[in-house]
Amino acid sequence: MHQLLHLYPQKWRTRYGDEMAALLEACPFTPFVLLDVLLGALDAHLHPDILPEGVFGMTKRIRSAEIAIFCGFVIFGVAFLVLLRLPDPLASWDPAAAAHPELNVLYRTAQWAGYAGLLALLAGGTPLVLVALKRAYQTRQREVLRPLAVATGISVVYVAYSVVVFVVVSSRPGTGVRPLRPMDEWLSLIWLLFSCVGLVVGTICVSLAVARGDVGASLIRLALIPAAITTLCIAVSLGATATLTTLIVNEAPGLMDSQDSGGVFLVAIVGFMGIALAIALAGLVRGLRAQGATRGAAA
Amino acid sequence: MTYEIGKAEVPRMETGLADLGRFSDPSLLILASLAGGPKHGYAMIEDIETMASVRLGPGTLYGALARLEQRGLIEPLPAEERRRPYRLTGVGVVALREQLTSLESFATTGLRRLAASWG
Repeated sequence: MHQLLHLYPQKWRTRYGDEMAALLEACPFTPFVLLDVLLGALDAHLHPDILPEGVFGMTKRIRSAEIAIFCGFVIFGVAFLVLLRLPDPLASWDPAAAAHPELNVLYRTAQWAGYAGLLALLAGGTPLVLVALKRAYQTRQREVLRPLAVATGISVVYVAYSVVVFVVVSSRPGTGVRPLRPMDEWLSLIWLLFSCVGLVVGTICVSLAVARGDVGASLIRLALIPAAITTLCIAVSLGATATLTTLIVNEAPGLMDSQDSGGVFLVAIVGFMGIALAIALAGLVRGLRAQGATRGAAA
Repeated sequence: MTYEIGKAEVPRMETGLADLGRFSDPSLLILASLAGGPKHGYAMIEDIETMASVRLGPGTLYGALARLEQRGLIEPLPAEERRRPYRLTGVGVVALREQLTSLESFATTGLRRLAASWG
């Protein structure tokens, strides 16, 4: 009976092959079933446009758009973490912020937009990952379970290593700022390398799991709303950071040299956020178009 | 599109099933089956046979499922092993309700005329 499926077009088999094969296994083989499948194959060749590309394919596009927005947010997150160091040290930030209150307003705007973006990402992304994990666990979908296991493993090792570094460095006697010992520098360098590699590998693993996971079309379409909010938050944060950078250059150039994330870092932050926004926007446009096409097909 | 029965105009397949040709009836049966909850292919065949004494073949079933999915009247759910359940979408619920309402109206009119003319 399986051989009959080869009479159908390739695209049809890709979409319905597995489930139709399962159905044929359950159905008793009769001349009626044979004739019906033959007519179905003929119909599929005569009407290639009936394949639900408009909905099934569009759902895949929305999913890939959400993954792009997730990747964009990860890039934004790296820049955002550096931006959070801007008021450090407070000794030079506070006088500048007192003289130019708009510095604080812009910094807070960028900061809260980033947090809001993270919340939106978690609100939309967590259900996708959990559903993919649940379905993968139930159906033993290794291509989903493996990347999720790698991402979880990396997170656990990363947290454990961070705790060890923190304990080792903070357990030294004395108070205040202490010069780093060679071992501290090595630990910190390894931690930094680990952070970069872990971030890249973790992002790829989560993206793969969501891309391969068996997630319902409704949930995927719904997740586009928080993804759009995340993109908006990246845009707001970028706008505030770019304005903040311009203000610092013109009104408080002293901060360019005195702050942890001053100078070249500020320009790099804006650049990274710009790249992140471009990726997220491209994803959002692709997702919204697919969403529109899905509704059009349903109308 | 409408057609007339005497003075009564009965809407025919206004909600997405109009141009399905030989798949119109199987599509309506599938929608009615899914009204009872999500089902995969074989469960639909069994349910439709119980409900309407019609046994759909696999080719007909998937021809109709593809068309319904393309129109957004049904949507696939995550596969259970190789079997994929389907469920009605919001648009599908509206379409099915309209179809069944028009059929009910048609049946009522027919029965009333039958009673008036033939007792």
